[in-house]
Amino acid sequence: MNVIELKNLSKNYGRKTVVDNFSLSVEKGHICGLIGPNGAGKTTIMKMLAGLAAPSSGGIGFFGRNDELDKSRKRMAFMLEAPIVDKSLNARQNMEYVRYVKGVADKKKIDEMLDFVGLQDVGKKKAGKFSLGMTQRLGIAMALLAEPEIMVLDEPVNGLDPEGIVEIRLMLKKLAEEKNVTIIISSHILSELSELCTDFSIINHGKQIENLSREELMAKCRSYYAIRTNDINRTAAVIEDKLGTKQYKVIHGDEIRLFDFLDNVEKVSKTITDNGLILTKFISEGESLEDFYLSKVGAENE
Amino acid sequence: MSKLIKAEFYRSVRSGIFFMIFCVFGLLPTVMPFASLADMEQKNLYQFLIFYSQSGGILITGYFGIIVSAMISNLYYNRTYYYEIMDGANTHHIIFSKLIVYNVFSTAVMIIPPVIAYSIVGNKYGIGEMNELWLTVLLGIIIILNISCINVFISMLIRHILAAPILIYSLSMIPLFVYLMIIETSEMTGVNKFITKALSCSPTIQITEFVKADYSTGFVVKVIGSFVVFFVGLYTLTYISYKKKNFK
Repeated sequence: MNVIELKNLSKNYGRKTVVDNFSLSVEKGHICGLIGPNGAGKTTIMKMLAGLAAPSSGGIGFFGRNDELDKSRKRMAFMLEAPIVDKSLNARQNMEYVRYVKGVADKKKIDEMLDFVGLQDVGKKKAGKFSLGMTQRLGIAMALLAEPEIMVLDEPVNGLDPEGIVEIRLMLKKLAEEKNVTIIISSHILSELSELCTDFSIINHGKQIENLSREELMAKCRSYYAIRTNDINRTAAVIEDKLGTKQYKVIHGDEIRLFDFLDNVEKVSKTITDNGLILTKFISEGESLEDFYLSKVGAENE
Repeated sequence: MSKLIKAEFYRSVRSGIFFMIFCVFGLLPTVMPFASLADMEQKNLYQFLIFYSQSGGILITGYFGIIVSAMISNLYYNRTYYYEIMDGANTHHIIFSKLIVYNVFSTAVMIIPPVIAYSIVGNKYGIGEMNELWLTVLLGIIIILNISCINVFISMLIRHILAAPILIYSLSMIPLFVYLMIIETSEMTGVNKFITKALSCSPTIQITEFVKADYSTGFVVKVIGSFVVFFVGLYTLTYISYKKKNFK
C-alpha cells in the first residue's frame, strides 16, 4: 500500500517554477531517498508535504486519501531544513512544547527520546547554545516524540559526527523494519542514503529525473571487473583479440575496467592468464549511488 | 484547540525575561496612580481612573504592545510555529489559541489587578464625579481587550521579531501623538475635526479618553464598533495569510 502519493506536483513562486510535475509513490515501511543538488526543489517538496507550502498544481495523498491532509499530518513528523527549535528554551522545554502541540500524553517519552539521541545530560543549557550536531539530535528527538507513521526528514544527519550518522541510520532502519514507519529523507551524504534507502528519487532543477527502487538501482549501476596485471597494454590487446570485446576502459594507465562477460569470470581470468599475463588484481565492482547520481544529474546539467 | 493553548501558554511563560517584563509593564498602570496620588488629600476613584487611563494608557498601548509582540514573534523567529502547521492544526484554532492565551495574560495583569485595587479605592475614598461606573469599567475592559487582540493579530501577520513590535509601537503612538497635538494646539476646523473623529476610533485614543468621555455622544458605539471592526478585519487578514501557506 502506498502511504505517500504525489501526482504531478508543481510549485511556482511568481514566474519561477521550483518544482515541476513531480510524482512519487512510497510504500508503507519503505525509506525513500530524495536526491538532488542544492536548489533542486527537495525542501519545497517536503514543505508541501508538511503543509507549509501550497502546491500550485498536482495532488498529494497520504494513507491512500487525498482529502483531509491535515488530519493525516497528525500521524506524521517533519524535520525541515535546519532543525526547528526555540533557542530560548532548553532541550527538555523544547520537547515539552512539541509534546503539547502533538498532544502526547505520556511525559516519559521526553526522557526516552532525549536518552535515545544522547541529550539526556545537557541539563538547562539553552538550545541556542547547542552545537549543530546537538541541535540536529534535538530535532530528531522532537520528530520522534509522537511515534509517527511517516517521517519526512530534510538533511537529518547534517552536522553529526560519523558515530552519530551511523546511530541515526541504524535508528531509521529499525523504525522502518520493526515499526513499519515510512520515511522520506534527503541528504548530501549519498553513501549514507545508499545504505539506508529502499527507494530513490532523483530531482534536478525542480524536475524529476528518475524514481527507482534499490533493486532497479543495483541493476542500473553497471558492474565491471577491475583488472590489474603485470602488463596493462598487452592485457587490453588480449581482451580485444581473444575475448572480442571493446567494452572496457583503461583507468590511470594501470587498471582496466571490463564491462563485458560479467557472468563469466572464469573465461576472463583464464584468457588473461593463458596469454602469459600475471593477474595482480581481479575483482568485481559496481558504480555507487554517487556515480549513478552524478551521471544522471551531470547529463541533465550538460 | 486545547493542545495549542497549552503549548502557547507553556512557551510564553517559559520565555523568561519577556514574560517578566510583560508582567511588570502590565501591572505598572495599576500601580502608578497609587504612587502619584499618595500625597493627595481629597482623592477618589475617578482620579485614580483618570491617571490609569492617561499615563497608563501610553504604557498599555505602546510598551506593552512591544513586549506582547516580541513574545509572539519569537515563535516566528525560531520557526516553532511550523510545528502547529505540520501537525495539521486548524487555522482558526491556531489564531484563537494565541488570542485566548494573550487575552488571558492581559486580563490577568491589566484587568483583574486594577478592578480589585480600584474597588478598594472606591470603597475607601468614594467614587468621585462619575455617573456610569459600571459602563466605564466595561468600556475599559473592551478597550484593553481590543488592544490585546490587535497586538496578537499584527504579530501573527508580520511574523518578524523586529518589524512587528516596531509597527505595533508606531500604530499605537503616532495616532495618540497626532490626536493630542491637534487637541492641544490646533483650532477645531473641519479637517482637524475629521482627523480627531477618525483617530478616536483607535483604541489607543480610547484608552486615554474612556473615563472622562461623554457617553451620550456615541463613545460607547465607537468603542464597541472599533473592537468589532478591528477584530473582524484583522482576523480575516490573519486567516488568509495562514491559508495561503507560503511560510518562509
